[in-house]
Amino acid sequence: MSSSAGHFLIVEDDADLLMVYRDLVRHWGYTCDTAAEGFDGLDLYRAGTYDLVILDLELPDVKGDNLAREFLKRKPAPPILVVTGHGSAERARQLGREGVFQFINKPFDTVELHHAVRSALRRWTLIQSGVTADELFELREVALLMREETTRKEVLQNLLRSAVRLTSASSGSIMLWDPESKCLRVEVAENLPPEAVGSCVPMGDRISGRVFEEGRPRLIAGSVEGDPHLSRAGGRPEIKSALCVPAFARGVPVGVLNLNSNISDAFFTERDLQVASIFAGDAATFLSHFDLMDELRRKVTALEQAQASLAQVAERASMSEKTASVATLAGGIAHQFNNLLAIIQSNLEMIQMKMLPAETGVAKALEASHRAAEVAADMLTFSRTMRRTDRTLVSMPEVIRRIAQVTGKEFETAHVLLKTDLGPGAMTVQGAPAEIQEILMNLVMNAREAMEAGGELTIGAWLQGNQVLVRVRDTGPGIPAAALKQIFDPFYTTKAQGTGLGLWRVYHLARNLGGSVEVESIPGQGTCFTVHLPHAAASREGQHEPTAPARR
Amino acid sequence: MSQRRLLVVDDEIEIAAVIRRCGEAAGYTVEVAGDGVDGFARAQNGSFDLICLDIRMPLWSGVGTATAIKMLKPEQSILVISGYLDDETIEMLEQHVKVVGWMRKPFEVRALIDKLKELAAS
Repeated sequence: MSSSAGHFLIVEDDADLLMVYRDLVRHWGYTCDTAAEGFDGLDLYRAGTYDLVILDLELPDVKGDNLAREFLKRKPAPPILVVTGHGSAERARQLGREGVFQFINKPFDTVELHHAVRSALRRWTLIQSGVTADELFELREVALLMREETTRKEVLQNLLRSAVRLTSASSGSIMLWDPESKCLRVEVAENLPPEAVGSCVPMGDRISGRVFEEGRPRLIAGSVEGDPHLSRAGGRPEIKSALCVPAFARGVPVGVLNLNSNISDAFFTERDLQVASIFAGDAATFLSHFDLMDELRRKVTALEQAQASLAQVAERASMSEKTASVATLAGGIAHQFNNLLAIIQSNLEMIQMKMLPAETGVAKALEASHRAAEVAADMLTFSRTMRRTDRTLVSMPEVIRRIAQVTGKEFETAHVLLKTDLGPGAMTVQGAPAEIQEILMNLVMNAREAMEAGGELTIGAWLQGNQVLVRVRDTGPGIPAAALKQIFDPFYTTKAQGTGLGLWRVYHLARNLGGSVEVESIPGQGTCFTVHLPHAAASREGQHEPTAPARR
Repeated sequence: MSQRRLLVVDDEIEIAAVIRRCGEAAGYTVEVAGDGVDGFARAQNGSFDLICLDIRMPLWSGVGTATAIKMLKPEQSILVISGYLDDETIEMLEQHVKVVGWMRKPFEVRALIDKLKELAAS
């Protein structure tokens, strides 16, 4: 049954995937037997001879791990490629220790699978051609090492050391392509002077440069003196034989593996070339995995940090949003009070200086102090409402009027003209006064900040069916359609100082009250938020609380 | 000696009234503008020895009004009187707009009259 290219056993319970494997394997020029269940696979394995096994870990009848162990009992066992979407790192490491050749994660790309297949077959050929138990052990150690967490340089150094030992080389090096300086740089060296590490060879120069350029390995043995490449290598007469193998990661050359022999009667052989090719392939695979892992590790760390700080931000942010609005309001209040105090103080002083009849001055001072008392009362109600979290009946026009009083003067100095447009009817809503005020306040502050150059802000409210509709409209620059989709997302903000929680709070508070919020915007004309809340009058009976300020 | 002319720009009418009286006590003839736009128009058409200017006003802000007036008449003397002056605004007014002085609200009537007299003499 076995063809010369390779005969595979594929165990996979997903019928579609099984067909994909079969077609791919045939396309690459191999033959295969397939099994949809573990025990069928085991029967086939025991009856036949295979060069490679492709195995799914999640099978309906038997655990893939156990099946792999059963396969490995044959000595020598063909390489096993485990393709899995569930391969946890620990499970993979354990199976790797027991001899599974490689893991491929679903979804895989076919180039990756093809590389793994070719690399496994190369090793299988080597094992069948009589590599010793020691050598096999060494190869497995290297494969294992690559799965453990360690530094890139250490792994490359170990790979090189093993390659030198297995080929009985006198010295060797691994060179990697440095795209910045456009040269091959010695990354690790074995039995070479320390200054060799870091030295460079341009593309096409010397043996390594040529091998890298051509992508084909070279074996130089005997007549070294006459070889033009070796003499260009700096005329190192001690080198009697040399091996240079390119390393490919996913089809792209990444470097070369050099092995040198100084012993004149022990030239490298074709078998040594095969061993070197396997190590070069391992080095390349490792490098591409290492870079990926490194990137993943960095991303995971960054994500963990981000998550931790997000949790903290979320805790404080909705509070800081409120603090920001209060700070803006406080500025406006201070301005109003200073003005009123100025009127009171200067009129009294003018009476004292006899610049003004006492009657006129006192009247003006009194009027200003009444106005100051009104401002203070509005602020008090506003701040008391911010703390009222009990569910009660809330008059929407009342909330809107209060917000207009508290913000209007301050907005005026920011050149924002605030208007209210209230329809007829009581327009009561059931909920916590603090939350209803927060909905309105967030929308109003948002609209004000949208109009940096000034404009018109209208708060409207009216009844529609059994709903109270509240609309906050601004004449600002508007919001692009793409941003509208994200506008209620937490932490979405376009303001430098924004927390991105204001509109998110509006969305959630409205939902909690059994309502909803929608936004429309025309860039260049303005934005309009409409909040729909259930009208409490419809279900007033039995829910009316005695403390409700229903007639205020 | 012809009477000196003062323009008061303040959106709070009662404050404008107080400053007007102080101006008259300091020997000025006084005109009043209720906002920055009106103030700028009067400053452009009339010739005033001094302008008393509020900062937080609807339409044009005091800083904007002062800047516009100074572009037109770089030598115009402006005294800022405001209840909302932070360090940043003061620095801007002194260094860039180059006003002759500033006072915080609430102010002492006596102090304002003295300041207006001092500016009239210079």
